[in-house]
Amino acid sequence: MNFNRCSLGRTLSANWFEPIRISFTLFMMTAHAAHAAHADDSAADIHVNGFGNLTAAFHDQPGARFINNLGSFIDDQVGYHYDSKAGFQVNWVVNDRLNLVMQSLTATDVQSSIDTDIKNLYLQYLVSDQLSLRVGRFITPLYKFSEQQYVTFSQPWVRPPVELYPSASDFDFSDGVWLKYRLNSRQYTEWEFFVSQLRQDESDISFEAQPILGTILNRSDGALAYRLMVARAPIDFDLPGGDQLEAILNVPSAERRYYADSIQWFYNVGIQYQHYPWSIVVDAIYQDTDNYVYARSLSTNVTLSYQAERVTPYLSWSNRHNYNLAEENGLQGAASLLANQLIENRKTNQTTLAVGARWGINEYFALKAQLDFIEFTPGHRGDFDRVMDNAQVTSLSLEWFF
Amino acid sequence: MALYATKHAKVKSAAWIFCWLVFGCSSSAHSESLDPIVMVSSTNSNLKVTSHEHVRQLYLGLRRTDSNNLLVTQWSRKEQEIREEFYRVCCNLGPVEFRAYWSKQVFTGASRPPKALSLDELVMQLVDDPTSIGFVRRSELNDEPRLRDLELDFHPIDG
Repeated sequence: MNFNRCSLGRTLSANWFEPIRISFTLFMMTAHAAHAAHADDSAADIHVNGFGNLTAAFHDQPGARFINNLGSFIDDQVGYHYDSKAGFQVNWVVNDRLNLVMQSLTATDVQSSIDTDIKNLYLQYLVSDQLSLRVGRFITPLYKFSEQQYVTFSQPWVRPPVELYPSASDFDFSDGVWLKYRLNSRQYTEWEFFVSQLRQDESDISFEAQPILGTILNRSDGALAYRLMVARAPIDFDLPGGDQLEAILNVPSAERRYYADSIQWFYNVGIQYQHYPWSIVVDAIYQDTDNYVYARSLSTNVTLSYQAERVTPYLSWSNRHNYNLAEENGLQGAASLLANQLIENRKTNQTTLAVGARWGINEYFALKAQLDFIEFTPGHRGDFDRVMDNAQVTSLSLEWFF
Repeated sequence: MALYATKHAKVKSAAWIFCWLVFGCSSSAHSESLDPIVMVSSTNSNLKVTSHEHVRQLYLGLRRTDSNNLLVTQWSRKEQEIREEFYRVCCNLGPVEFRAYWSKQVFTGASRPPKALSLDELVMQLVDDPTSIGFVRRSELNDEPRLRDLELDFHPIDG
């Protein structure tokens, strides 16, 4: 049994029928709303956009793998499948107040085969200039860059810092309602609230998070912008034999609690200061849990960039620190092995210092190069599949947006 | 000790590469006109845009209305020099960062970038639609009696 996020990503995949069902429902709702609005003197407007990147990467540690949540990896040979992806979006602007957004993402999964997910499929209604409402599927906005984490064209890095953002996941979207309210003030101040649910089923394994409740405060005043977010996600995770394993682990002698069902809390602080040509971004995420099956972690990134005419050099520091790593000494035999294996799997503390540059070739293409110097806490493997001291990842990426 | 030395060397390498890149890029500095950029609408327009921050929010898609809650359409310029200078002085964004910013807005379903027009097209558009705003150079405004100065000037910035 392995409860960590890596195994969840590998074992489960989206229910193929679900996107079709949601698409159809939203399409019918939109058609109905458009009809009810009598077109409001504006013709329907459809925008088709795409984004993507082709990224080559390798590292300097022979035989080791730098692995992501879906099992794609970078090794010591030049490879393309870890980061490369393509996105496609259709935005149907029904009228001034109503639009329908559908966005798909195609990337390689654990078997290095092509996998396409619907990441966004929502109806957006502008109730007023201050208030907007989204209903449907969206990338759960837990972190500062969650919503656009796959749109690497919008970011300085080749890939968002892996300490904070897994490069691909089946668990980053959910279905629900998202409300945004902009306060009337000189500064840009927006309050957001979302409630959503995520359900993934495959054969006899099921994962459910509901209701995911979150609230966000965004504020910007000229050069300074910040974001504060808190969210709560109760997780209901069922797998064969799970109850028996929980019974073995949760005995009175155990020092801690081990339950697959858990309440996860997410806290995010994001700060951006821009004073042309300099820009600095700070993003910190604290993930809390009520038991010892999952990680309690703090992830941080600081990125400094300089906007030259066509080239943006950047320097980035990121760190991930998992806290609940103390050995379990209250269990015996197989139970002890199992509990300590869970803890061992969480030994992924690492620090990355990245330096790179983005060159805007033209309006549609950008070329990026990045060097990651990764240091591991002694005894930790970071995002690699084995314990080592340090590693260096080299990446070159061609990105596009149209 | 050896581990510390390795770590220190890598930090030093990254810092050197970054400084070298910044130094190399900063030498290709942009040129900016001394002629300021001014915000304009039609002389028939009643739009009330009150501050530079208000303009910034409109052009970054963070806001859609004027101070009286009238829906505003904002237009950009096809001419590269004034367009890039405007986004630098108004939004603190270089041309590459500006495209990056809008790629984020588009793919989060938030809003779409202002459409770009030539000076002649812009004048026609503003005259036809009193809820529109745009930007021109001060010298261009002096030649055009159909445009109203919103009295929000953007001057070249140091750097």
